[in-house]
Amino acid sequence: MREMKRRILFGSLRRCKSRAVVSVLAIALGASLIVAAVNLRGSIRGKLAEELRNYGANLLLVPETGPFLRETDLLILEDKRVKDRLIGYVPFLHRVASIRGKDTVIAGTGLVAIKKLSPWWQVDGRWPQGKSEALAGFNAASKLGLRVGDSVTVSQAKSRLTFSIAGIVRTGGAEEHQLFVDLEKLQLLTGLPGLLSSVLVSSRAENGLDQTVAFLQREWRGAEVRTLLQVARAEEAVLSRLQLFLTLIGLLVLFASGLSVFATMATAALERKVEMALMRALGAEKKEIAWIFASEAAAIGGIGGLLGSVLGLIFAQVIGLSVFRALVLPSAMSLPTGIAIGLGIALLASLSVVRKSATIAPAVILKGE
Amino acid sequence: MKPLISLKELTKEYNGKVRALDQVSIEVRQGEWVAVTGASGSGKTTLLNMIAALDRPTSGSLWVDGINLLSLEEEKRARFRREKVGLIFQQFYLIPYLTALENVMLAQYFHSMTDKGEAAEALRQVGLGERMDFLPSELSGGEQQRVCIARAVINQPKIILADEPTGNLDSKNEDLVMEIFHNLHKAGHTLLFVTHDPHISRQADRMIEVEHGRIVSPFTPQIRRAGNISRQ
Repeated sequence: MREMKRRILFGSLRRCKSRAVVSVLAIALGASLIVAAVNLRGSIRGKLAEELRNYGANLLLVPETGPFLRETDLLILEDKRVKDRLIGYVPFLHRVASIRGKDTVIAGTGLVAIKKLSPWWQVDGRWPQGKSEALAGFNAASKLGLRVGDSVTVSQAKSRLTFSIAGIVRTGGAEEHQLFVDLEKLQLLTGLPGLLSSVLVSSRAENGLDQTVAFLQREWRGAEVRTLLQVARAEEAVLSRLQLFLTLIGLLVLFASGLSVFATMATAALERKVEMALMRALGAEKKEIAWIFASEAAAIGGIGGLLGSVLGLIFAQVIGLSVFRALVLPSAMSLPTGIAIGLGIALLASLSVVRKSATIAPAVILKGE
Repeated sequence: MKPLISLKELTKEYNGKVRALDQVSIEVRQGEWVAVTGASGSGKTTLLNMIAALDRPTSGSLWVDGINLLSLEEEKRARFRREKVGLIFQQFYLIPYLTALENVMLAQYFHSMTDKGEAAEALRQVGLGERMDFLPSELSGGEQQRVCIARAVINQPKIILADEPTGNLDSKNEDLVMEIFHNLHKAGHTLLFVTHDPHISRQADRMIEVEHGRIVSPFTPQIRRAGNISRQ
């Protein structure tokens, strides 16, 4: 009995070999993209997270009580117990001052240190090279009508300081509303020498971010240590977008492969309607006719899914190595995912053909005129 | 003795307009060989389809081997076909990718279970013992029709229904095939043929002529020959 089923199945597949091969390849391509996404999700997440954590500050120190931190406490960050884990740090004093009659947030900071910690900042002009030069945020510059090379006077109470605008910076964040000047100069202007509003710290993730946090909480009295959420969010966003991209492309390809399977099955049904009518005339039940087409679809989907799993693993390695410079550990879900997708798409695409073929009217097809 | 096939006032209409069969009443006894003749479009194939449970009548009654075909659901009609009927077509209708042997086994497969030995014996009986592993495309028309006959008889059906079984054959192959039918008849099979060919219909026990969906002349061949009303 099984032999006869096998003969019917393979006999019919052999007859429409080229169409079946195209359908198998279409399904394999769609399944491979989904399998690649599944593998990348598992393996690249950790790698990407580490890279993102190493990129930019990931800790923020703010006063726990009172308005300021003491600048002398920055020596804690030079302690050998923590120094090796740190990529760098940037102290900040944020004050509101008047520029050209408008209140503006002035950020006093170490301009050399911030350049090192924020390499993605896009500066039009150049980075400040002396204490009398400033960097204007893009929105602040627009609001105040500042251009590179302009001279700008910052006033607070009765104090004034003049800076030359060396560059205009785009960061994609709140920094674009600020004017960046030398920390010491702002401390003098505002009468707050040795005081800070916050410190941004970049700690290496692979050496234990948690250990750095624990050390600073223990050693820096009066400071609250916060882990920056935006890093984690950026991580999530990059991964989600990558996965969404692969999944959408995969779904589009699967839709196209579904159409290909549908076309293959519909053509086969048309070509084989006499054969199906004969089988019905010989006493085949509807489910037996449905089985023939469903088996063909399952064979196409199963082979396509299997091939897609293998291709998906290869794609994942190629993407892992070329984009993330990391090998991707094969996921145990690769094979089940690929085969399930292949079978699902093929059976779904052939559903209407299967139903239509099962209800064929033998008397009409075999009328013999 | 109850007839094997009994039709009473059987009518088949298509779309409520075209009446393919009109109040047809016939009876066929077990072991009888009946030829249904008539012009193209007269309704003879429709009549065969009704008896084979391939199509449903619009009204009337139709009993075959004690089964009321009008009351059967679709799947029970399929069961009726595989258990009671052996079908032979003018166009042969063999599965092109299956060998002669496998085509015969296909009928076994839908009936119950395949038996290679029985299928091979059926092919030997129609003179195809040496060609059972050939594909239909490798067989002549006469050989293909003999495969169809083997397929029709393999499950020992009560009735063999044949629609123009020699229509596509040359005279030599026609004789070969008719000899097989004679043997089947002698073995006690009930045969019902649809044919244009008077030479074929004359070999039956009885002829039924259909015209515009009605029975116009239920003759025995002997009566028709005696009255010289052959429509040659």
